[in-house]
Amino acid sequence: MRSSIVSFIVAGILSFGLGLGYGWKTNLPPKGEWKNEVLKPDPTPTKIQEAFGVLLAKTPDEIDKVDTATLGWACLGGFADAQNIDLTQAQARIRKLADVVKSSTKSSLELNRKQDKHFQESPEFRIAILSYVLQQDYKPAHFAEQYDPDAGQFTDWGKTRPEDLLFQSAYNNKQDSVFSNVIWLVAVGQELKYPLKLASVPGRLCAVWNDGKNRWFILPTAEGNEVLTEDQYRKEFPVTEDEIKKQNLYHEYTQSEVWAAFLQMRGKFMDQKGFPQHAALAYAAAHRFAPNTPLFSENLESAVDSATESNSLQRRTVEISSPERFISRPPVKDLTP
Amino acid sequence: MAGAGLIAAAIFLPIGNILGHRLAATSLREIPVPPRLKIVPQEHPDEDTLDLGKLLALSRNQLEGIDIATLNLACSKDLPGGDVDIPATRRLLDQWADHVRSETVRNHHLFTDHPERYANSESFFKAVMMVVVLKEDMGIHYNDERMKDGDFTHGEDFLMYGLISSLREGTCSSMPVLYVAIGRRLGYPLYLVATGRHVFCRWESDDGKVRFNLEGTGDTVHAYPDSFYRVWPVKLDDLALQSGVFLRNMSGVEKFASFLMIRGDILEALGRMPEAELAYAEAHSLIPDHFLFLSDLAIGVDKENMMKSGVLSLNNPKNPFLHSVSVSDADPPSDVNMKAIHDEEASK
Repeated sequence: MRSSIVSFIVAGILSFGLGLGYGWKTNLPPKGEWKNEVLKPDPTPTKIQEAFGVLLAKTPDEIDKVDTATLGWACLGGFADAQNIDLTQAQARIRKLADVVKSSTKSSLELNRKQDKHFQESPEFRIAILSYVLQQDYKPAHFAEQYDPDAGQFTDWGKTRPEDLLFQSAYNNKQDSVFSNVIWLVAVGQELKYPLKLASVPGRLCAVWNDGKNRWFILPTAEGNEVLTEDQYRKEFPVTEDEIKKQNLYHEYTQSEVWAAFLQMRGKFMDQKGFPQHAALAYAAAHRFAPNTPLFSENLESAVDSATESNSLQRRTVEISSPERFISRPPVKDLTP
Repeated sequence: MAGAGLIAAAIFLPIGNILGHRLAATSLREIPVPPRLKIVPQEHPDEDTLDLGKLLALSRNQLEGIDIATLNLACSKDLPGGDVDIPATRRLLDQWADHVRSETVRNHHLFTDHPERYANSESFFKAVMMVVVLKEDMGIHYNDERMKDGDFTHGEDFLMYGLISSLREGTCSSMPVLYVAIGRRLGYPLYLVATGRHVFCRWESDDGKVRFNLEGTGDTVHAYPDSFYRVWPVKLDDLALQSGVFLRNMSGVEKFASFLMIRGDILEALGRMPEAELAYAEAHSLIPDHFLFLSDLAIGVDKENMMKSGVLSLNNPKNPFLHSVSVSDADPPSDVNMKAIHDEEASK
């Protein structure tokens, strides 16, 4: 079942290759058809390490104005390979890719003039061209060698690399895994003002196309893009309602939640690589930017438990802290002039 | 000629190869390969562009040279009344330092006339003058309300922004920071030092010959010995003393992490728990071995869980803190034998 659904995008592209027809001029994207706020990159930080710190100090409202790609790259702050990444150049690549998608879409329309007009203006067409261009440019998405797609988890964390989990390929030409390809999809799509956002489905991140009429979950896989409705996803990857709530599944992320999701992955990576203090920081930040996602607060608690155990600190919080700390106080006076 | 060269090459090349192999074998066996030293030059950042986010991105080495005022003021970001213009505040502190300098020069005769009043130490005279001028001319003072309630919702009393605001109020958490900021501008070797639930300054010259602690938060200026701070305001047990956290001059990264912890305390008191936990986690990531930062993070996580479960509600009879009695610190003794202190420090 999966393979038939998976490859419909590829079939869509092929059908364009065979299509005949008459051309009509199309301005991309159709004006007013899809609503998606244009997210401007934060102009301040130019280095990844600086961007990580700067974004940690922002409020969720401020994060909502930062583009997806920048959030993805910022999570590489502190990694040796990423120290000299110039965000300005990296963001320029996103814009360049968006231009390629735009021109490819236009030329495909002119090439396939007899194609059904309805299909040519359809979201399926946009997604197909976007996916095709990205796959041509960055090669098909792949799973990291240590990843078991059926189990939905890594089999050997010790061998994982940043590019297996995080958004890295923009600067060093490393091939990203399917985890970061979905970020490419959303980042370039948002640059084109497509109604694309990130969301979590069981086991991983995916893109969501929601134009008000259609709501599809797009999941890059090793074979191509899998596109499913929420109902189809729920049938194919059944999870309990508790898990959906705990992991905030099938919910279109705000940019603040996107940042939190990336931080969660950074925390997982740091944890597995033996940097518990950085894992705790990443989990605490994920919790701060998405405080209503139980998974993030549970991860933070677990990281703190591990750290206190390894430091021989006892979690007798009631005994070791002063009672004043636990007593609520009236709201503070506002000093703002 | 060319033939002779070829013959010579034919003779010597094998010898050279053999020797080369032997030499290589010897060097591999007997001479360990030294580790490669990778030196990454780190520029000192432009301090007028620094804020909390950019400070978080700096390395530990880079934090060493940063103005303590920048480190402290950055930590008040998004606190009530805490979003101050850091470069403008630093200029203000420069002006205050200039004023302290001129007043110290103008009153220098106080020391030359009666050096015994300043423990025969010109350094101590300078430190006293700095504190007195800041208090009398700038209006810096301790907010006694905080002595009673220790209420961290008043962040302005625990980070430095309350001292440079029109309130001019602070506590032992913020006033020593101001003293170090001004003192450093004057070239004084002042450091921030922590003990149990208290912070103070220490004057320590580079050669170690002049060293005294500066207690300038009360009505008068004192120089208590280290032994005093082992028991005041709370007694430090052996475990605390062995932790290496207390009674030593703070480095740049320690100062920044400590200010982040205070930021966490303020946010926690304001009920902004996820932000508080992030501040604690930032401090913990800077110095993982510092038990206070980790335990604050752990307590913050626990407290949020208790808040969510409703245990901490004042209407909940199961609230373990409902009938808790406030713990108040004892005041420091009003008079201290300065000569004894000076002798003790001199004997070290």
